[in-house]
Amino acid sequence: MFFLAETSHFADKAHAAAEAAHHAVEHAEHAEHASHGSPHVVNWVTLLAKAMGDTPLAHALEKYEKVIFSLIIVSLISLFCFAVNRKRSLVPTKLQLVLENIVLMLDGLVASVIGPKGRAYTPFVGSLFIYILVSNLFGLVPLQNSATAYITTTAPLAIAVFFYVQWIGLSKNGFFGYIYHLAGSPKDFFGYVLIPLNLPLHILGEFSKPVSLMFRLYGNVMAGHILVAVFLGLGLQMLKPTGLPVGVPLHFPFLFLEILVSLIQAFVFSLLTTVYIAAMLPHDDHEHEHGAGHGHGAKHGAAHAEVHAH
Amino acid sequence: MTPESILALSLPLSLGLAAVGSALGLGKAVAAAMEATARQPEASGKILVNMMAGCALIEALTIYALIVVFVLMGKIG
Repeated sequence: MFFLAETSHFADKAHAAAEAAHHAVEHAEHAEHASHGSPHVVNWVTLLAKAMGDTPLAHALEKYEKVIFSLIIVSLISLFCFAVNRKRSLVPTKLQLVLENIVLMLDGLVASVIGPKGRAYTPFVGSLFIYILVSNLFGLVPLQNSATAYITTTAPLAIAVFFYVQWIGLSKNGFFGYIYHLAGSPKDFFGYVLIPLNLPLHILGEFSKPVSLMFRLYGNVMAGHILVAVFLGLGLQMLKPTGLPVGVPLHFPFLFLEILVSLIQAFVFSLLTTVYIAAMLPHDDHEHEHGAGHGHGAKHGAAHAEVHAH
Repeated sequence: MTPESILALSLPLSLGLAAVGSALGLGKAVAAAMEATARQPEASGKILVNMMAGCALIEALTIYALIVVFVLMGKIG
């Protein structure tokens, strides 16, 4: 059972080592505290809880760790936006320009997937993007943690997306249009014959969307944190013989990978939300005709102008 | 062979197998996107967005395997 002993031993070691990195003190008894079996980097909430010992407040801190970080992130975003928006002007300041560009980028993303009418959904999708991105990046700050590294944060986000998408489907298509959409939008006899197959499949698909959303975000962020913690532990193991509370920063290259993953996952979550909304909206084929009509009108206008010029 | 040792042997293998399939899919998707970008560089933004959505769906399968591994890792003890 060499392999077995090695894995548990390694998990404990990595946990203990990661703790020492920030704490500079190693508690042998806390090394056994890694009951989840996966190493993680300590943050100030768990440190505070550990310092308090076995009190009810410490247990509450450990229990509500994710909520605390979630609240910190939300208040950071709100404070930043409030501070920038307080002195709004037509000639933007630097920070106002930053915010305006972020909003413009998100608006462009949503409009490129749904079309010009999709701008109504930018606030929801944009809020998701900003919250997830800040939360993901927050975990890379020493002594802080990501709220999105826990399934208890990503599940509500995905459930909110699920209900929002269903509500859009119901309100835009009407009740029977919604059922028609779920039945696979049958157009001919063959389509109606396949309804018993299509309806359950589509309903199952609707429920699998939020599940895949929440597991993707949670898995990526959590795996990134564990990766960093493992390499932090390895780096500390290398310099253990010296007895100093320092290590080789082996995890450093992975921080850049984490920044990339944070961006991509926030982008993917909001992009998939947009795609789900776009799939729920009624498909109108008149848009191209309208565009063509406008082009025609413009041409006519140009011709008229020419006539007038003559 | 105890159940724990079976788990310890099979968990990394399962993750590796999931990664193989995911890697094949990702390779195909990215290769097609690269080709499309080379053919039509002005459409690179749209291609990138679509590729990302596809890649996320492919990658999710490996992430499921990873979560299963982490859930079952607690049983190895």
